[in-house]
Amino acid sequence: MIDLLEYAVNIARELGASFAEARGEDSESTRIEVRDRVTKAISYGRIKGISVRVLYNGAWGFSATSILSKDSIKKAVIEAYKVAKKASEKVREPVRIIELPSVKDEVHSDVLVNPADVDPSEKVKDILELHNIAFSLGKEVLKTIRTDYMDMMVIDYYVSSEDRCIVQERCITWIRSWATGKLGAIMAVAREELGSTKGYVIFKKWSQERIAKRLLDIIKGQLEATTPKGGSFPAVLGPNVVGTFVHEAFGHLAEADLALSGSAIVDKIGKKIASDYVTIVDDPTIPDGFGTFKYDHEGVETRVAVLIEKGVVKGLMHNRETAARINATPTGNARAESYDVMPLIRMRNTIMEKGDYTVDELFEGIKFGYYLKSFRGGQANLDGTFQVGIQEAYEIVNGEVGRPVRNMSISGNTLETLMKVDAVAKDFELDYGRCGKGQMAFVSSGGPHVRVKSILVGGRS
Amino acid sequence: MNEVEILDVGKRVVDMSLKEGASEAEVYVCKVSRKSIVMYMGSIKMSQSVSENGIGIRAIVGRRVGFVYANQLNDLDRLISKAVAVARTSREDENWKGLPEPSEIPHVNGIYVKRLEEVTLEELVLKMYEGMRIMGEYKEIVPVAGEIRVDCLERAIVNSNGIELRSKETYSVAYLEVVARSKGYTTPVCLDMAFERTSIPNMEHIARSVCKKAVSCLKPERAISGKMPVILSPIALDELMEYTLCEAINAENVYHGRSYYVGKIGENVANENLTLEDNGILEGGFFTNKFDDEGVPHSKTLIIDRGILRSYIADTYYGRLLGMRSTGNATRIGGYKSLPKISPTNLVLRMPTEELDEIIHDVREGLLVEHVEGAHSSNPESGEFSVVAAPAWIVRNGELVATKRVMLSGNFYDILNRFELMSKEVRQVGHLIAGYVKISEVNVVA
Repeated sequence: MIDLLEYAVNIARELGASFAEARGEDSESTRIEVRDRVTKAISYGRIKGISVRVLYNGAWGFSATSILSKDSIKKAVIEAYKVAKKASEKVREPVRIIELPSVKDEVHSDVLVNPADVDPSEKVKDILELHNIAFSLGKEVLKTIRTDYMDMMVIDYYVSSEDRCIVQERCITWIRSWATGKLGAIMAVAREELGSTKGYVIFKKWSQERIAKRLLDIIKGQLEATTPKGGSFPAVLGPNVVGTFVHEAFGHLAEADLALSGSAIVDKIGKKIASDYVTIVDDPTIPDGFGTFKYDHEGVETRVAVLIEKGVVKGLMHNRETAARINATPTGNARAESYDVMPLIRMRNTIMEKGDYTVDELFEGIKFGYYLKSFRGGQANLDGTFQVGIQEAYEIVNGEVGRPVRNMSISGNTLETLMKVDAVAKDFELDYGRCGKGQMAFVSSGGPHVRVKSILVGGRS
Repeated sequence: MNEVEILDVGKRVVDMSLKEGASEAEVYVCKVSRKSIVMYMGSIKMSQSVSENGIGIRAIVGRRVGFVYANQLNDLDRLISKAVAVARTSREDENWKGLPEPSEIPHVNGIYVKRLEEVTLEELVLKMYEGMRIMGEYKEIVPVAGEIRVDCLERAIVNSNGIELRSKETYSVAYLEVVARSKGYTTPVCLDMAFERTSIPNMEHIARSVCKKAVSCLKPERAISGKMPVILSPIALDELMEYTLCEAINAENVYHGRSYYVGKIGENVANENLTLEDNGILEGGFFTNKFDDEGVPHSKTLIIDRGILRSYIADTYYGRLLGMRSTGNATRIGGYKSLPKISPTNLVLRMPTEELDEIIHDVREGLLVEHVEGAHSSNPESGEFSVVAAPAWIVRNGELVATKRVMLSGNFYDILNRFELMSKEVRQVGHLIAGYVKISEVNVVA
């Protein structure tokens, strides 16, 4: 593979490209879908391919092929070069990029059990066990359960005209379960999404029993829950809600491509936008995080992107191009879903840093408020507003966690909400999920328990 | 690799799968070339071409179905044994009644042209420049985004029942999005697009149309709320239909009881003026082809005939479950990486027509809607929708006046009874071929 990539980069160099990079992918993946103890679908896929990206006079050309012959690669490079040249004739703002020193590196994945070596029948058996346990523990309430499972083992190859040559392995194992419960006329929905980068160890990390209990707890809570009062209340957010908030509501605003095209924080760098308790980073080094890797898909060494430090905006998440545009250090946030698409700025492990409080201290002194433990889904807009649905919430009455609350959502303005954070606990949890931005990326997010002076709570009928 | 070879690969893999222990096998082999130019904020942001081979194998052991895919056509031994292993791991599907049988394939025109297969990215850049030049002529216009895309697909479908088919197809799609800005006011994003099979869309035409639309959105007035006649553009109608009607006519949803049209064949479901046909062999249609993605011939299916529901659309599997033939609507949305699913081809809407100007002229107080947001939140089972209409214009005594975002809500299956008139000029937008449609009454919240 490396020979072919070097061949591609050399052709681009000879043609006169100012910069050229070639990426290769060799991956194997398995997907399984199980509904109510019935295996609905299993598929296996194997993908191999090469792409080349060429910069000429401030314009990009990109070409990809699955046909791994020198002829086909040469054709791809020439095509990318020619179109870059054509597009450069009318370029409004020529692209500049950060160039890096030469490097040769091989990064092996720390996978414990390679999922490609595990027979699909074993994976199916493990998922069926989850369903069996869920139905036996939840016979009174559980109506349906669906589990989607995916694993992939990928080798990424990278060669650039800067004489960088990188081979990096990565492994993703991911499951998501949706369960619905019903009691009388009340419906309840619970979801749980889990993952690992260490291979087929997912049910060792979380036993089937633990996952089933978790789903049923959420369902049972909703079934006996009251509905929320609308209005602004003090709230304690659990790590899962903090992670979602940090990713959805704040993180996207700090992706440099979106920020520079006018997100709510474009003119806030160096300014205080959150309370002193708030430090938010996108950290590619957290053990077993979906966004933990040494090099990104532009062959850049990943580094921690400090987004907010003690309330002040410190920086953005960059690729080579946005870093050059505002003279920042590239953070290694360029990720591509597969070899045949150009990398985009994506989050990795986006977290709020821990504070000094114990979790109990956060609840003290709240006469009436809400404890928002885990999220269902959410969306955020470029203008800085957000709406997050909560699947597991409780009342807080006189400093104690009280009755469960269902159909709850929180909304508001992201920056105003960050200003209202008045205590951050010293616990920490990391979650696993996927993020869509035209391409799908596996990301982690997380944080400690956090208290907000007031947050707008709305019910959902 | 040429066409003959992909068919040969298919035949060989079917044979090998049977030898490996499969009782039936189906192979989809393709050769894809995709070229695209993306414009963002007035500059060309991405120019890319991808050429890829792909193979998807459905191996069946008894009534167990396995699926595997790869984008390399060598090392097929390993893939085939994986396919059979996956099939053996899969559940026994008591509804499995076998792969489709061969049948006569229709002759269709206008699905491929060499000129599109051979188009270069540089030519597409020049086309995009044409659009950008027109946008530059309007001082209020800010280009937001746009894309020109040309795909060439060669596909072969071979199965162990004797289906051996191949086809070569070209597709081209383009869209442009702009806003107009004047005196501190920015209009909603205006969008226009075109879908072609044998030529590249005319970018000057799209640019002019979208710029004129955006400029006419300036100086908005406040709309009033209430029930009123609404004229939907084909773009808005396609968006609403995708998440409602298209789900209701899908045999998979009908079988699982998730369709509003369960048990309604022969019943009145729309205005008696309205006829809807799924026509997969329509000359010039964007989704026209000789056969679908499991090798069943494309056909013409009358879905609603003068208001009466006549048929669903189906693939082989769900067709059999509902006691109907496949209508040739099996589609692999993800190409070789996916199994066939039911999807419409070209949905042709027929209604009494008038010139759009006349339709507008006859409305005293109503709304004209070009585009809706949030159609995906519609409830396909009940038909309820609540969307933001933007851009939209108030129709006041037959004249158009720009307005800001308004909400439209209602039940799509209900309003089909109130589809009154359609403009004479029709076009294809996604799966839909229709004109502007006047609906006698929709709930508007300003």
